[in-house]
Amino acid sequence: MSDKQKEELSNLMDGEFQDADKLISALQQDADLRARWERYHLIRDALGNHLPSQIDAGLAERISAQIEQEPTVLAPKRKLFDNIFHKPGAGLAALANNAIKPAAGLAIAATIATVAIISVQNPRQANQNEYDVATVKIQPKVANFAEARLAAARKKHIRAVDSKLSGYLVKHNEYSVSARMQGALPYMRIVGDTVGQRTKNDK
Amino acid sequence: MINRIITFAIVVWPVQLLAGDIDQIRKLLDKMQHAAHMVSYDGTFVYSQNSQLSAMRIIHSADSKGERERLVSLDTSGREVIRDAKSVTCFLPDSKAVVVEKKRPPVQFPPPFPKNIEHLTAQYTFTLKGEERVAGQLAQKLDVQPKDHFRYGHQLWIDKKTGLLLKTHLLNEKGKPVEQFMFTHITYLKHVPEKLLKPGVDSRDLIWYEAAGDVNLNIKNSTPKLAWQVKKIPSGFKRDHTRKHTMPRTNKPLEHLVYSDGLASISVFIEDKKDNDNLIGGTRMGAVNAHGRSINGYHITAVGEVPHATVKMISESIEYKDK
Repeated sequence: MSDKQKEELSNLMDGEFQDADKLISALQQDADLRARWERYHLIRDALGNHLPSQIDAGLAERISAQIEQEPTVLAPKRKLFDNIFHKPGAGLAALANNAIKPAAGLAIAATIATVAIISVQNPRQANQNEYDVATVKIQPKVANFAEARLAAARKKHIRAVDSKLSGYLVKHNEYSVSARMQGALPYMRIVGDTVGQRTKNDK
Repeated sequence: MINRIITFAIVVWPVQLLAGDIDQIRKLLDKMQHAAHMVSYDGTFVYSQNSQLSAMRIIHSADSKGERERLVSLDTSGREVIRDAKSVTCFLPDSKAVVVEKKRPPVQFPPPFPKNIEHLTAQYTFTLKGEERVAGQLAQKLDVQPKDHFRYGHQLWIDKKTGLLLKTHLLNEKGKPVEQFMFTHITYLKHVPEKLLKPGVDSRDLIWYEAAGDVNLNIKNSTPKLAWQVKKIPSGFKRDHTRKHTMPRTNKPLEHLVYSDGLASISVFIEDKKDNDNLIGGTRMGAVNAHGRSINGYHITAVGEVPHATVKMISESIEYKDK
């Protein structure tokens, strides 16, 4: 799974990805990608507000079966979706309009199943952090060796500062009141915070 | 007459309600804190900070072997944190590292509740809200509103049956969430299978960093001339601990001061400035803000789950007194 695919996935969720055919066939082929797609939706839904008390894991299978029973369709009718889900969201509408072409089967069914239980919000922000933006954008433009080394050194330095801060955070957690009140939960800040994804905050 | 009743209701009733509530809140917080350490479970939660989302699994075991925990990222980073009575081990495959922290002996199990609630009510307003379902469990909602801008507000959803914290929102000065956490699925367990507590990371290609145990500064083997004083600190924050550590990667000595208002904590780390990997200015990791600066050949980093203004105030007002 490439970073490009992840970004495309994110766009697809928002109904902003026009050329979805390739991505949907990738979704069919790639179980990891599919799992990520479902996870994106689950996370977003969970945070948007509440998940249903029960998640129907068999929904994807059932839709898959239903799609197979349909006569050869190039685009499944909107009605099918409306029948299955009472609240088709923005993402679903976009899917119905753009994304669903010949592809059928489990991948797309899974897609729809997850769309059905979500409230679509703004995806991962494009500008998620300055570090990444700085390093990633520099790389394609690197004209000479010196610049490349500078970029690498900068990245290395950021990693070193980050890892030192993670060390501080572990020590802080061991003594902090919230750790005493919430157990391991403060550690989610370390687990959920990947290298170079911090926000600089120079106030 | 009706006016009088209304006046009475407005003026007196909330006060009476508060007195009863405080008792209930005290019990609820007590139960929550107890549950965080004494309940065994396997759950999946989502965590969001600064518009980043992640899903994680947590397995917590409390039995005759003490408290053990495994926290696993369900995203590609593959990060894991494993905790037991002796150490905290962070598997960071994306940094090609495993960092082991020895814990201080003795581990408090179960740990004491943060002071008394009267101390907390000087800084925060507690309000019981209704009941809501989180991850299929019935939860009591509790709002904790700070009385100034130097600490965060909390919204807590606490499992009515077990006392486990199922969902939290940490709110900034403007009432916007800076960090959200919520279980999407939880199974309470009587006994946690050993294999669930073992790391799933292939650590063969990773570099292990291990620190020597910590030394309490109160035991007299520290450099006695070190005397750091924080000049400006928001009301209610008191110094809890002073400790001396060594950093896992470099084994460099580190002085660690901990301040707390009973709910939020701030750590101040003081290191002599020999490397360049120091934070200058501010950064954040979820609800945790950090602020660093250098002074007299030392580097100061204040870290805490408080607004940036608070860690900045502390790190910039710290002074070194040569006695």
